[in-house]
Amino acid sequence: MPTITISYEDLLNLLGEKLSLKKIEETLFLTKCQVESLTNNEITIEVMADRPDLLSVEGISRELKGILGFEKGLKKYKVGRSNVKINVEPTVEIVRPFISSSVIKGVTLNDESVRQVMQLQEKLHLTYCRNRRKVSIGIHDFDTIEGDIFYAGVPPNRIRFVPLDEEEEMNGIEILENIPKGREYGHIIKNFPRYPLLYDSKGDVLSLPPIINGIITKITENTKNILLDVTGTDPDLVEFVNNIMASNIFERGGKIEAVEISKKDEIRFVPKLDSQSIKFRIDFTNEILGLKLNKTQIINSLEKMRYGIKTIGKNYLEVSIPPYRADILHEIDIVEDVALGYGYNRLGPEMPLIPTIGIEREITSYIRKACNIMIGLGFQEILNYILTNREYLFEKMVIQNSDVVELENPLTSEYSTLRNSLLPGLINFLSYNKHISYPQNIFECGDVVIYNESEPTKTSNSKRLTAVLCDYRISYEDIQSSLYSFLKNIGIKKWILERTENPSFIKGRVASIYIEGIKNPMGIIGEINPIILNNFEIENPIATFEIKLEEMMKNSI
Amino acid sequence: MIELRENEYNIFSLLKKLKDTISLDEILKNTELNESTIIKTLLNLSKNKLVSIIEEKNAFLRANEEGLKYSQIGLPENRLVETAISAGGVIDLDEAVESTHIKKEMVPIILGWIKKKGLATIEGKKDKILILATNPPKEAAEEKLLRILSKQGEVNFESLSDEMKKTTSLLKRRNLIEEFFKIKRFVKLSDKGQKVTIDSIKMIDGVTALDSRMITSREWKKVKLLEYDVTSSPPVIYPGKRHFFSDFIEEGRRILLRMGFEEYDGPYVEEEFWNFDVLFQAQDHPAREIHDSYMLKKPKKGIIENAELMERVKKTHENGWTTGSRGWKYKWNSDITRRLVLRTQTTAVSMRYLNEHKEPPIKMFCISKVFRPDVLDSKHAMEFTQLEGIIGDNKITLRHLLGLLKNFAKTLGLGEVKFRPGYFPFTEPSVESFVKHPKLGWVEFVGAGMFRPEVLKPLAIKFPVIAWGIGFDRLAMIRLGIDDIRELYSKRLDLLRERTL
Repeated sequence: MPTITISYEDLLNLLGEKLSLKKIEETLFLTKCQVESLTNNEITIEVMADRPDLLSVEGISRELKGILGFEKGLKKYKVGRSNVKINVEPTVEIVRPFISSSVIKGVTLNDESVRQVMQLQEKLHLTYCRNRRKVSIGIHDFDTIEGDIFYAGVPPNRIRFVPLDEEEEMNGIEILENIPKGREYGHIIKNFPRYPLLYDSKGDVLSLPPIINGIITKITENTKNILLDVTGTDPDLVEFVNNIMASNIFERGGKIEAVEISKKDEIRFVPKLDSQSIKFRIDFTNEILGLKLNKTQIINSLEKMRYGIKTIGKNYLEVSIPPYRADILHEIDIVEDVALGYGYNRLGPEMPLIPTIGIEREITSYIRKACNIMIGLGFQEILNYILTNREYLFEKMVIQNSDVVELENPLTSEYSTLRNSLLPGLINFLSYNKHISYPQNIFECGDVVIYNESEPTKTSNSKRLTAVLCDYRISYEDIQSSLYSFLKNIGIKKWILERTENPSFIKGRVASIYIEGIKNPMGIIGEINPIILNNFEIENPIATFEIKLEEMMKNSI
Repeated sequence: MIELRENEYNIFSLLKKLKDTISLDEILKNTELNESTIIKTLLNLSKNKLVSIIEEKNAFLRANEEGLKYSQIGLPENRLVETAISAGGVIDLDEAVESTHIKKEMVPIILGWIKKKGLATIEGKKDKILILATNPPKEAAEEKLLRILSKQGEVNFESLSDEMKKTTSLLKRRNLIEEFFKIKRFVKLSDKGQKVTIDSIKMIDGVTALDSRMITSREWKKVKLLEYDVTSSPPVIYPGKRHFFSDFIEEGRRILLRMGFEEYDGPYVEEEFWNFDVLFQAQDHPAREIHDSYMLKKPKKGIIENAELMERVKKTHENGWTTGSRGWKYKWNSDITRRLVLRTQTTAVSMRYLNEHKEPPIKMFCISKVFRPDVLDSKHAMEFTQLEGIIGDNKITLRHLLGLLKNFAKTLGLGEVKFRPGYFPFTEPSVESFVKHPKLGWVEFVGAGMFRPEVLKPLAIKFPVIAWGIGFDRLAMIRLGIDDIRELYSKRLDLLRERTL
């Protein structure tokens, strides 16, 4: 979850009320953000991914005002007209087609408010804008821009300007290669013949989205009027991000003015900042929450959450959604806000009393039985990870590489493959315990993953049980006794061992385990080849059996 | 005249024969007796002042989980410098940290070591830090010692070279090894023991082991059954037993079965369809990127059998279908949905269950593995166990969800519970719940919510469903008092043997 830092003093100024840190912490705990730490004047807040509008102090103050009842209901935004026009050229269509914009006039910026605007921009970029891929934001000093603005696709070698925080003029290719932001985000536009560029009538560059702004339009504490550009590949997100930026900056005062966006024959004025309405059911809300709230209570909760409400009939409300709320996809999202406005701490837990009978998976009961028998035989259960690697599964076991599920993006080679047998894990376990007293009789009961073309997922989980005896002296007979006792007690009537060959075992001391009348072997038993003991640097002999539990279960009495 | 029992007589004779101070191991080798009988016997001999027992306390060392890891992959400072070398002598710190998977909070400490050891030059430049290295790092003494420890398991401190001894304190400070003590016992004849001759000792007449012949022939009536020291320690035996974590999983399962839930599970290798798309997670959702999901080299793609369901899911993503939702408004890709990943959430199992069970009431649980890319350390693991539960019924509500979670926490022996709003892409309303831990304070316990209409309607589920998921490893750590997540899969047999169930 993203975190932001805000100033306590600044928050109080925006709230216009004196609130203790404790009260703020308690109140925010019941919203979609939470205080993570407090130091003097700094509050660090964790914000949930569905509420990008809370990624700055202005959004948090707006939310707190509602919940605490200082200012309730839908905030109305009056959008005037600026004389700014952005001409969208067809050349930008393939690389980054959508643009929105706002003008906010008469803002008073100081260190803290500049920091908050930058933070909001940065955190939106990171989260909601998917690392600038889908949307990116530029903030400009409005008074440095002259005449109409153009948004066009321009060949990189014909782009020339001084990027923000740099001293020299560069072309598009140089910007992508030489400056940090270019290297970080260049991949988004690199493969296009033209890069998106925003410039004014004098040809001064506002920005090269989504990489960097030009130096000319840089905002400072003296900036009075702001122009935002929001560009991207998703038209709805572009509008939402523009709304969030404009409405949050506006919390500090000023005047919002619309920008004319002209694209071919189509002319729009943005930001709209009007609200979408949705028909909302009172009975549905109570059914979901398990409460019996009346209309007044629901309206009160929703107004605290800054919605606008009109009553339309006994059971229905018309709810206006604030323009910065990008997360409302469905009526259910507003139901949750009723619960937030009402207070999660007031909901009152109620135990659901639905009489049903607990049912365990058949294999779970079978595994419990198997484990009980193994424990009775004196074996200690161990657990290994499902993830392992080829070296353990094949090379150290002197087995020819066979089909195994492999990861495309392992973080370490140690955990890069799903195990297809439990045995290597048990042998590896023993290699860590050479100094511990013997005998070391251990077993593991767990999943391996094998190829299975007949499954939709091309693989299947398979439950295995593997037992290992390790002592100064061990014989094939010892493990055979354990196996026979196990099979008899788990309910196998008749089994047959058949001599087989397997490079992991000593020749002539390994057999396949069959259940009478079943074609495929149920497992393998034998004494481990000393090459393998050397490979794992183990100093005592090992005998083992591994069996397939699901298949065995089908044939147990 | 000195009287000794058979074992005492035999060991005393052995000591007489060998003369020197000898260790317990040597007696073990030279007699048929087990260790605890020998100790018992020696104690008796020393009570008779015939022998004296000398105890020697020895310091031993072993590597902990972190230390074992470094013994394989090398110390982090060396790894950072190595990446600088392989990048041609200079590398951006952030880049080096990312490629070596070193945790962010460790970076300042590691840079401190690099400076202290003079492994490389560190240069701050504007908004970045560079590592400049000319020589590849040599094997550090710490690495050498860690390698010895990982190979031998445990090592007597005194057996180490002087250099290695010095390194010990360094590794202790870095919290990579632990020290423990073992007592070694030696025995020698006392002055009295020296003087006493074997001939002057009388073996006590009597019987230690009662046998079948003596019982049936009534011979036991004629002999003396020797008295034992009934308070002395017996030999240690280790029972076969469950692993403590399996035992805890069984406990969770038992509670849910008692509450009337049905157990279910699904495959580890899962289609993105079940893992994400059915859960209404948009195809460009960050959780679906390579940083957050394990993709497969092979097999790559699965088959979605239910074409109708796939169509409904597609439309729900694109425009909300008939769910009343706006949808995510993008072009849904049926190729992406077939991609195979390692299951990242057991919610995929809930989806498979709902697809098979459409009549209320339903109550399902699953305790199984999920996988997410992470480097194994004391706090993170690349695979972990999740407990997932759902209840669906016509009248099920958010308050029921809270009630269930509160009761579940109570049954698990956890304290007070509190709730706050949460966010998950597939539930609305969503809840986070916390339990009060006596030492750690409020600890996050569970993520929960009610499945969104965009999830339920395509599956043709006509009633609300509450759902919750618990990180079972973390819960086990809280309940069992474990600080290092790797201990749940520890490779130490002694630890498993000692741990109570």
